[in-house]
Amino acid sequence: MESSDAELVGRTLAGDTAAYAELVRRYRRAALARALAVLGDSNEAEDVAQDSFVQAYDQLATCRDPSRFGAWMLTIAHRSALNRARSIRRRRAVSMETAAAESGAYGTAVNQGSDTLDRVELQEKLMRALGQLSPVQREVVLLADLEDWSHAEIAEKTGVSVAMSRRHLSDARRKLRAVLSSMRLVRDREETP
Amino acid sequence: MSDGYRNGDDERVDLSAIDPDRDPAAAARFLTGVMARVEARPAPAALPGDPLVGIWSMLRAPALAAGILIAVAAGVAGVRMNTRRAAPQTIVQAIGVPAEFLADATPAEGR
Repeated sequence: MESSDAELVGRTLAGDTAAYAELVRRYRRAALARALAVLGDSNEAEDVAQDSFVQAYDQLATCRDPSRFGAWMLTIAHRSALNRARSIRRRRAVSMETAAAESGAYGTAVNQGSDTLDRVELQEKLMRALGQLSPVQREVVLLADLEDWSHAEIAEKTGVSVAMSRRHLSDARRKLRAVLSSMRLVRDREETP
Repeated sequence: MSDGYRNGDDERVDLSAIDPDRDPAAAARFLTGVMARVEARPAPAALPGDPLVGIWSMLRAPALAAGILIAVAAGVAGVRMNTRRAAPQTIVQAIGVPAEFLADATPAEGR
Protein backbone atom coordinates (compact mmCIF):
# COMPACT_ATOMS: atom_id res chain seq x y z
CA MET A 1 0.00 0.00 0.00
CA GLU A 2 1.30 3.45 -0.90
CA SER A 3 2.56 5.50 2.05
CA SER A 4 0.80 8.77 2.75
CA ASP A 5 2.61 12.09 2.54
CA ALA A 6 2.47 12.40 6.33
CA GLU A 7 4.16 9.00 6.75
CA LEU A 8 6.87 9.87 4.26
CA VAL A 9 7.53 13.20 5.97
CA GLY A 10 7.75 11.46 9.33
CA ARG A 11 10.21 8.91 7.98
CA THR A 12 12.29 11.64 6.35
CA LEU A 13 12.53 13.51 9.64
CA ALA A 14 13.64 10.25 11.23
CA GLY A 15 16.55 10.12 8.76
CA ASP A 16 15.12 8.02 5.90
CA THR A 17 16.17 9.84 2.71
CA ALA A 18 14.54 7.17 0.55
CA ALA A 19 11.21 8.41 1.92
CA TYR A 20 12.07 11.91 0.71
CA ALA A 21 12.98 10.52 -2.72
CA GLU A 22 9.42 9.18 -2.92
CA LEU A 23 8.04 12.63 -2.10
CA VAL A 24 10.23 14.11 -4.84
CA ARG A 25 8.91 11.57 -7.35
CA ARG A 26 5.35 12.35 -6.32
CA TYR A 27 5.53 16.11 -6.72
CA ARG A 28 8.30 16.59 -9.29
CA ARG A 29 5.99 17.18 -12.25
CA ALA A 30 3.69 19.51 -10.30
CA ALA A 31 6.66 21.55 -9.06
CA LEU A 32 7.98 21.76 -12.62
CA ALA A 33 4.57 22.86 -13.91
CA ARG A 34 4.28 25.52 -11.21
CA ALA A 35 7.76 26.86 -11.93
CA LEU A 36 7.22 26.72 -15.69
CA ALA A 37 3.99 28.68 -15.36
CA VAL A 38 5.92 31.55 -13.77
CA LEU A 39 9.20 31.36 -15.68
CA GLY A 40 8.21 30.14 -19.15
CA ASP A 41 11.60 28.49 -19.54
CA SER A 42 11.95 24.76 -18.95
CA ASN A 43 15.66 24.96 -18.03
CA GLU A 44 15.04 27.65 -15.41
CA ALA A 45 11.93 25.78 -14.22
CA GLU A 46 13.93 22.58 -13.70
CA ASP A 47 16.60 24.49 -11.80
CA VAL A 48 14.06 26.19 -9.56
CA ALA A 49 12.12 22.96 -8.97
CA GLN A 50 15.27 21.17 -7.85
CA ASP A 51 16.26 24.06 -5.57
CA SER A 52 12.75 24.05 -4.11
CA PHE A 53 12.90 20.39 -3.17
CA VAL A 54 16.25 20.93 -1.45
CA GLN A 55 14.85 23.95 0.36
CA ALA A 56 11.77 21.97 1.39
CA TYR A 57 14.02 19.25 2.78
CA ASP A 58 15.94 21.79 4.89
CA GLN A 59 12.69 23.28 6.21
CA LEU A 60 10.75 20.03 6.51
CA ALA A 61 10.36 20.32 10.26
CA THR A 62 8.42 23.56 9.77
CA CYS A 63 5.76 21.84 7.63
CA ARG A 64 2.90 22.14 10.13
CA ASP A 65 0.61 19.67 8.42
CA PRO A 66 2.64 16.84 6.85
CA SER A 67 -0.51 15.47 5.20
CA ARG A 68 -0.49 18.65 3.10
CA PHE A 69 3.16 18.39 2.12
CA GLY A 70 2.21 18.75 -1.55
CA ALA A 71 0.51 22.11 -1.14
CA TRP A 72 3.31 23.34 1.15
CA MET A 73 6.01 22.20 -1.27
CA LEU A 74 4.28 23.80 -4.27
CA THR A 75 4.06 27.10 -2.37
CA ILE A 76 7.85 26.96 -1.94
CA ALA A 77 8.26 26.20 -5.66
CA HIS A 78 5.96 29.08 -6.61
CA ARG A 79 7.77 31.54 -4.36
CA SER A 80 11.17 30.40 -5.63
CA ALA A 81 10.01 30.79 -9.21
CA LEU A 82 8.77 34.32 -8.53
CA ASN A 83 12.14 35.22 -6.95
CA ARG A 84 13.99 33.75 -9.90
CA ALA A 85 11.74 35.62 -12.35
CA ARG A 86 12.48 38.86 -10.53
CA SER A 87 16.21 38.34 -10.68
CA ILE A 88 16.00 37.38 -14.36
CA ARG A 89 14.05 40.56 -15.06
CA ARG A 90 16.64 42.63 -13.22
CA ARG A 91 19.37 41.01 -15.28
CA ARG A 92 17.60 41.50 -18.56
CA ALA A 93 15.97 44.82 -17.57
CA VAL A 94 12.86 43.92 -19.50
CA SER A 95 9.73 41.99 -18.39
CA MET A 96 9.14 38.56 -19.88
CA GLU A 97 5.67 39.47 -21.04
CA THR A 98 7.01 42.60 -22.71
CA ALA A 99 9.70 40.56 -24.42
CA ALA A 100 7.12 38.06 -25.56
CA ALA A 101 4.85 40.80 -26.87
CA GLU A 102 7.67 42.47 -28.72
CA SER A 103 9.64 39.59 -30.07
CA GLY A 104 7.81 36.35 -29.28
CA ALA A 105 10.79 35.36 -27.15
CA TYR A 106 8.79 33.82 -24.26
CA GLY A 107 9.77 30.24 -23.82
CA THR A 108 12.24 29.98 -26.67
CA ALA A 109 14.78 28.48 -24.28
CA VAL A 110 13.34 24.98 -24.22
CA ASN A 111 15.21 21.92 -23.10
CA GLN A 112 16.02 20.53 -26.51
CA GLY A 113 17.72 17.27 -25.51
CA SER A 114 17.50 14.94 -28.45
CA ASP A 115 14.32 16.54 -29.89
CA THR A 116 13.86 16.90 -33.64
CA LEU A 117 13.57 20.33 -35.22
CA ASP A 118 9.79 19.97 -35.64
CA ARG A 119 9.30 19.15 -31.98
CA VAL A 120 11.51 22.05 -30.92
CA GLU A 121 9.44 24.35 -33.13
CA LEU A 122 6.22 23.01 -31.59
CA GLN A 123 7.61 23.45 -28.10
CA GLU A 124 8.56 27.04 -28.84
CA LYS A 125 5.10 27.75 -30.29
CA LEU A 126 3.39 26.23 -27.29
CA MET A 127 5.54 28.21 -24.89
CA ARG A 128 4.89 31.42 -26.85
CA ALA A 129 1.17 30.68 -26.74
CA LEU A 130 1.36 30.00 -23.01
CA GLY A 131 3.09 33.35 -22.65
CA GLN A 132 -0.15 35.01 -23.79
CA LEU A 133 -1.97 33.68 -20.73
CA SER A 134 -2.02 35.15 -17.26
CA PRO A 135 0.25 33.34 -14.76
CA VAL A 136 -2.70 31.71 -13.02
CA GLN A 137 -4.23 30.55 -16.34
CA ARG A 138 -0.86 29.09 -17.32
CA GLU A 139 -0.58 27.29 -14.04
CA VAL A 140 -4.10 25.85 -14.18
CA VAL A 141 -3.83 24.66 -17.79
CA LEU A 142 -0.44 23.07 -17.14
CA LEU A 143 -1.71 21.26 -14.05
CA ALA A 144 -4.97 20.17 -15.72
CA ASP A 145 -3.91 19.34 -19.27
CA LEU A 146 -0.32 18.28 -18.69
CA GLU A 147 -0.52 16.79 -15.18
CA ASP A 148 -4.12 15.57 -15.41
CA TRP A 149 -5.09 17.12 -12.09
CA SER A 150 -8.73 17.49 -11.15
CA HIS A 151 -10.08 20.90 -10.23
CA ALA A 152 -10.33 19.73 -6.61
CA GLU A 153 -6.61 18.88 -6.60
CA ILE A 154 -5.72 22.18 -8.23
CA ALA A 155 -7.82 24.04 -5.65
CA GLU A 156 -6.25 22.14 -2.77
CA LYS A 157 -2.66 22.59 -3.89
CA THR A 158 -2.70 26.12 -5.30
CA GLY A 159 -5.32 27.98 -3.27
CA VAL A 160 -7.44 28.76 -6.35
CA SER A 161 -11.11 27.86 -5.78
CA VAL A 162 -12.67 25.02 -7.79
CA ALA A 163 -14.98 27.47 -9.57
CA MET A 164 -12.11 29.77 -10.53
CA SER A 165 -10.00 26.78 -11.59
CA ARG A 166 -12.75 25.78 -14.05
CA ARG A 167 -13.03 29.34 -15.28
CA HIS A 168 -9.28 29.80 -15.71
CA LEU A 169 -8.98 26.46 -17.51
CA SER A 170 -11.77 27.27 -19.92
CA ASP A 171 -10.35 30.72 -20.64
CA ALA A 172 -6.83 29.34 -21.02
CA ARG A 173 -7.87 26.64 -23.47
CA ARG A 174 -9.84 29.13 -25.55
CA LYS A 175 -6.92 31.57 -25.69
CA LEU A 176 -4.37 28.85 -26.47
CA ARG A 177 -6.47 27.55 -29.36
CA ALA A 178 -6.90 31.04 -30.73
CA VAL A 179 -3.20 31.85 -30.47
CA LEU A 180 -2.08 28.51 -31.91
CA SER A 181 -4.59 28.89 -34.76
CA SER A 182 -3.28 32.32 -35.60
CA MET A 183 0.29 30.97 -35.56
CA ARG A 184 -0.74 28.25 -38.01
CA LEU A 185 -2.46 30.85 -40.23
CA VAL A 186 0.64 33.00 -40.22
CA ARG A 187 2.80 29.98 -41.05
CA ASP A 188 0.41 28.89 -43.83
CA ARG A 189 0.45 32.38 -45.36
CA GLU A 190 4.23 32.48 -45.21
CA GLU A 191 4.47 29.09 -46.92
CA THR A 192 1.91 29.88 -49.61
CA PRO A 193 3.66 31.27 -52.68
CA MET B 1 -24.55 22.75 -15.06
CA SER B 2 -24.14 25.25 -17.86
CA ASP B 3 -21.36 27.71 -17.30
CA GLY B 4 -21.90 29.60 -20.49
CA TYR B 5 -18.71 28.40 -22.20
CA ARG B 6 -18.56 26.87 -25.64
CA ASN B 7 -18.42 23.06 -25.79
CA GLY B 8 -15.04 23.16 -27.50
CA ASP B 9 -13.48 24.75 -24.44
CA ASP B 10 -14.01 21.53 -22.52
CA GLU B 11 -11.49 19.71 -24.68
CA ARG B 12 -7.94 19.46 -23.49
CA VAL B 13 -5.17 21.25 -25.24
CA ASP B 14 -2.38 18.90 -26.26
CA LEU B 15 0.64 20.04 -24.29
CA SER B 16 2.60 16.80 -24.72
CA ALA B 17 5.31 18.67 -26.65
CA ILE B 18 6.37 20.34 -23.40
CA ASP B 19 5.92 17.27 -21.22
CA PRO B 20 8.93 17.18 -18.89
CA ASP B 21 9.15 13.40 -19.38
CA ARG B 22 9.36 13.50 -23.17
CA ASP B 23 13.00 12.69 -22.43
CA PRO B 24 12.74 9.28 -20.67
CA ALA B 25 15.84 9.96 -18.59
CA ALA B 26 14.57 13.33 -17.31
CA ALA B 27 12.83 11.97 -14.22
CA ALA B 28 15.84 9.94 -13.08
CA ARG B 29 18.17 12.86 -13.76
CA PHE B 30 16.00 15.22 -11.71
CA LEU B 31 15.74 12.82 -8.80
CA THR B 32 19.47 12.13 -8.81
CA GLY B 33 20.18 15.86 -8.83
CA VAL B 34 17.93 16.53 -5.84
CA MET B 35 18.98 13.52 -3.78
CA ALA B 36 22.71 14.16 -4.30
CA ARG B 37 22.23 17.54 -2.67
CA VAL B 38 19.85 16.26 0.01
CA GLU B 39 22.11 13.39 1.09
CA ALA B 40 25.06 15.76 1.45
CA ARG B 41 23.14 17.72 4.07
CA PRO B 42 22.37 16.95 7.69
CA ALA B 43 18.92 15.53 8.37
CA PRO B 44 16.33 18.28 8.80
CA ALA B 45 16.33 19.35 12.44
CA ALA B 46 13.16 18.33 14.18
CA LEU B 47 11.49 21.12 16.13
CA PRO B 48 11.67 20.62 19.96
CA GLY B 49 8.74 18.49 21.01
CA ASP B 50 6.00 20.28 22.85
CA PRO B 51 3.48 17.87 24.36
CA LEU B 52 0.94 20.67 24.42
CA VAL B 53 1.58 21.88 20.87
CA GLY B 54 -1.86 20.72 19.75
CA ILE B 55 -3.56 22.52 22.62
CA TRP B 56 -1.57 25.70 22.08
CA SER B 57 -2.48 25.80 18.43
CA MET B 58 -6.18 25.41 19.35
CA LEU B 59 -5.92 28.20 21.90
CA ARG B 60 -4.03 30.53 19.60
CA ALA B 61 -7.04 31.96 17.75
CA PRO B 62 -9.26 32.56 20.81
CA ALA B 63 -6.27 34.04 22.70
CA LEU B 64 -5.60 36.40 19.83
CA ALA B 65 -9.26 37.42 19.63
CA ALA B 66 -9.38 37.99 23.40
CA GLY B 67 -6.19 40.06 23.24
CA ILE B 68 -7.65 42.26 20.54
CA LEU B 69 -10.89 42.73 22.51
CA ILE B 70 -8.95 43.64 25.67
CA ALA B 71 -6.83 46.15 23.76
CA VAL B 72 -9.90 47.75 22.19
CA ALA B 73 -11.71 47.87 25.56
CA ALA B 74 -8.66 49.42 27.24
CA GLY B 75 -8.44 51.98 24.48
CA VAL B 76 -12.12 52.91 24.78
CA ALA B 77 -11.83 53.13 28.58
CA GLY B 78 -8.77 55.33 28.27
CA VAL B 79 -10.50 57.68 25.86
CA ARG B 80 -13.54 57.90 28.15
CA MET B 81 -11.36 58.67 31.18
CA ASN B 82 -9.56 61.43 29.33
CA THR B 83 -12.86 62.88 28.16
CA ARG B 84 -14.23 62.78 31.72
CA ARG B 85 -11.14 64.59 33.10
CA ALA B 86 -11.40 67.33 30.52
CA ALA B 87 -15.14 67.76 31.08
CA PRO B 88 -16.37 70.19 33.73
CA GLN B 89 -16.70 68.49 37.12
CA THR B 90 -19.35 70.80 38.59
CA ILE B 91 -22.22 73.01 37.42
CA VAL B 92 -20.19 76.03 38.43
CA GLN B 93 -17.37 74.97 36.15
CA ALA B 94 -19.79 74.09 33.40
CA ILE B 95 -21.51 77.50 33.28
CA GLY B 96 -18.37 79.51 34.08
CA VAL B 97 -19.47 81.49 37.16
CA PRO B 98 -16.93 84.23 37.87
CA ALA B 99 -14.69 83.46 40.81
CA GLU B 100 -15.92 86.38 42.94
CA PHE B 101 -19.40 84.81 43.17
CA LEU B 102 -18.08 81.49 44.38
CA ALA B 103 -18.97 80.42 47.94
CA ASP B 104 -15.44 80.83 49.29
CA ALA B 105 -15.11 84.36 47.87
CA THR B 106 -14.47 87.09 50.46
CA PRO B 107 -17.84 88.78 51.26
CA ALA B 108 -18.13 92.52 50.51
CA GLU B 109 -17.69 94.87 53.54
CA GLY B 110 -20.91 95.88 55.32
CA ARG B 111 -22.84 92.63 54.84
